Amino acid sequence: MTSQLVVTPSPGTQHGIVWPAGMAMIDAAVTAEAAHELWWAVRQNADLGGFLEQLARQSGNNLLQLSPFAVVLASGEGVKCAVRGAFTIRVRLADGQNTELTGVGASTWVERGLGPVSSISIGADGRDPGEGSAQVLLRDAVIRADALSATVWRAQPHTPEPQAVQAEPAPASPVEPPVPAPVDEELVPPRAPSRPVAGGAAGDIGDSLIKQEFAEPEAAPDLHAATTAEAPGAATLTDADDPAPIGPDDNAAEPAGERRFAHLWDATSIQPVESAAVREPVFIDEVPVPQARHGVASPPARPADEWDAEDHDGHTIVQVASPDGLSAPGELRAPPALETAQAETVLAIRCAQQHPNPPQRTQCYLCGAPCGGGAAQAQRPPLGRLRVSTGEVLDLSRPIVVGRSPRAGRAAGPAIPRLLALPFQHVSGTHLEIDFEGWNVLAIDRHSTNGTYLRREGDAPVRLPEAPTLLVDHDVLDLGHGVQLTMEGLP
Amino acid sequence: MTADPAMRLRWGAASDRGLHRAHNEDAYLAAPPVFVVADGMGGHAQGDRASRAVIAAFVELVGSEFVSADRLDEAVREAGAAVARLASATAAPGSTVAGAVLARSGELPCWLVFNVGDSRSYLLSPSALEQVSVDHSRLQQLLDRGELAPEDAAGYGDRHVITNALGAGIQSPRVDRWLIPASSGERLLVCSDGLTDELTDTLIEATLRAEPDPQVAAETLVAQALDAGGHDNVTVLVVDAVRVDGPVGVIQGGDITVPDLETAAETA
Repeated sequence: MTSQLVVTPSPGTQHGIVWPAGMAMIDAAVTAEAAHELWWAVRQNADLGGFLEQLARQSGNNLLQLSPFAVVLASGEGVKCAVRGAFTIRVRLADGQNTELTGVGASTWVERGLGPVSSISIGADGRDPGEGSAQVLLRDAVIRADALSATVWRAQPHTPEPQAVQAEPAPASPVEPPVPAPVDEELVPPRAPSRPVAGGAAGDIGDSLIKQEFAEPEAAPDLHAATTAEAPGAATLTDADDPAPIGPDDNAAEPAGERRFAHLWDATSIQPVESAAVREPVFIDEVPVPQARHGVASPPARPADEWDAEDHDGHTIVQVASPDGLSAPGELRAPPALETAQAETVLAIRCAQQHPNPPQRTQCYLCGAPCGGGAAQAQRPPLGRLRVSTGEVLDLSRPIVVGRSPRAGRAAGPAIPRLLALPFQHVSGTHLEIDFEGWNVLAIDRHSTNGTYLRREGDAPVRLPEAPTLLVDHDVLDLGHGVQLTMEGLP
Repeated sequence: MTADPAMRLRWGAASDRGLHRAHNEDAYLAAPPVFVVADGMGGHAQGDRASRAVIAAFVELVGSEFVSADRLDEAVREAGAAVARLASATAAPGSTVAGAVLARSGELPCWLVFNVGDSRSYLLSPSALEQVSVDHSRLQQLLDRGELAPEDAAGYGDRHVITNALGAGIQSPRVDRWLIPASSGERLLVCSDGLTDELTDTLIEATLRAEPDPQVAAETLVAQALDAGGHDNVTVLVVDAVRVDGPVGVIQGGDITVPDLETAAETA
């Protein structure tokens, strides 16, 4: 559980879909039923990949024919956005920067991950989502709308050590006209990190929710007065005041102008959950502690979220299960051995021609000469041949994977098997496998559609189970319609 | 039936250091029959050296028609040794490696796909985009053990903890390999985690389907990863099997095996 969205719609013709962890707009051409299905699907598993898969299903899994859409999902401390076609997503980040995405010009769609966010809106065809917003707040809805505006509530974890917070731009007061982001904002000195904030006030108690609201002038006139009465940057909530462990400003590292949207819309303020519906401004110092009774409080955030890990540690970490696999740096002299196949050894006796043989044999399985002497480990010789009804003959020296388009994967063991392709429609992609254990040749049906039948001299045919079955000389594996594999020269 | 197996390939490659990193610690090689990506780690230019050392070990495979599994193992072993030699008393740089080489199983032309670490290979067939390789990562371990539900994976924090690498003080890196019959019309994607951490598989698949030119596809994917956040170095190889000639045609037809009610009766 991470952030949650509370959404204000602007009525219109497109589909607006809202659920606690996200919101989306879908082209008006999509049926209402499909919009409902989408809502239901994302309600169950709200993940960007899941949303896209559900949308793709509605266009017959043709990814190039998806309806225009825009979606915003809470993800960790931030959000994931995706947009296709003429929708625009406008985001105000918690650090005061603005950014926007549109799908116009992309042959597929645009995806973007963003850090902590205070407000987000989706508008159709450049519609300014700020105007004419309905006076309702939605957490779960499928409605006709031309824009959706969301405020983001996110879990406020236990206050971490005050850290060197990057300089933050002072949040614009709502009575100021929209201005470009100040060029010298990095020069604004960091605020005292000791300033108490919601999470800090909550202190030992644990989590609370902070609402970072994108307040609309019409909706909350009181807010203006209150906000402007404050010293610049002191009263309104921004992440400069926010000790949430988002690390030293993800976005500061971005190239200047890369993600800046020079249009600041509105002020940020903070309210407790219960006042959201009446939109009374409550400033950060007054935020009551945990809101769990509203069912939206979250478990403590991870101490280092994904943004943190990616941006500040910056390096992949190698973790080995047991310390045996590790050596001290610089200690390696010999080239490291790879965990790959060594030719397997078997316990063997020899015939007069020195052919290795199974210890129980009295005559060589290759040349018929008498066997004897003490048993010793020897490299396993080919265990005979496999004759295919198509004419091919394969040595049983390596495992064999048989199928219409057979694949050998990680599960197939350390040795690279031989692939035997049988171009028949009744044969499964990967149909069966021939493998070895000591001196034994084994057949394993790989859950084939039509099965593999073992024909053994004197016995009725039996369908191979998926468990390994021991094969003997002259056994025939029957894949149906005359496709047969015959074992020859097995020990 | 005795015609030599032959494949005609088209490929494209693109790499970028991303928006947040000082170095590009990724390296790649895209020259038949070898398509490999290495994602170095170690910081302070050590990562670049590690990934380049890995790539250097594959260069001598370039130009041959096919690569045997033994030759591949040898190259991976050499790569591991080369990275290990970069270790000092204070640091042991490491690298992932992932990719595919053209191989032959009998007369059947194949992709021999391999990986150490969390760089990935995918195969795009007419029906689906399939991730072939399995990450050597803590996240994947938790998924394999059922300790983490797939739907929670996206929010999992420690996605950069890998459990296997070349170098990095690991003495016996585990190499996973897959042998897959090559078929015409299929597209192979090899990439570093800078791509897959930023984009959904759905967008990766859509882009691979939308851009017929492999070079344009590779560049588009890199650009999308940067647009999505560009938190890490990102490298993308796109390889098209334009034509595959083998002694036996491999029947594709996706995952559909014709169910055969007669077989049982006939055999029983």
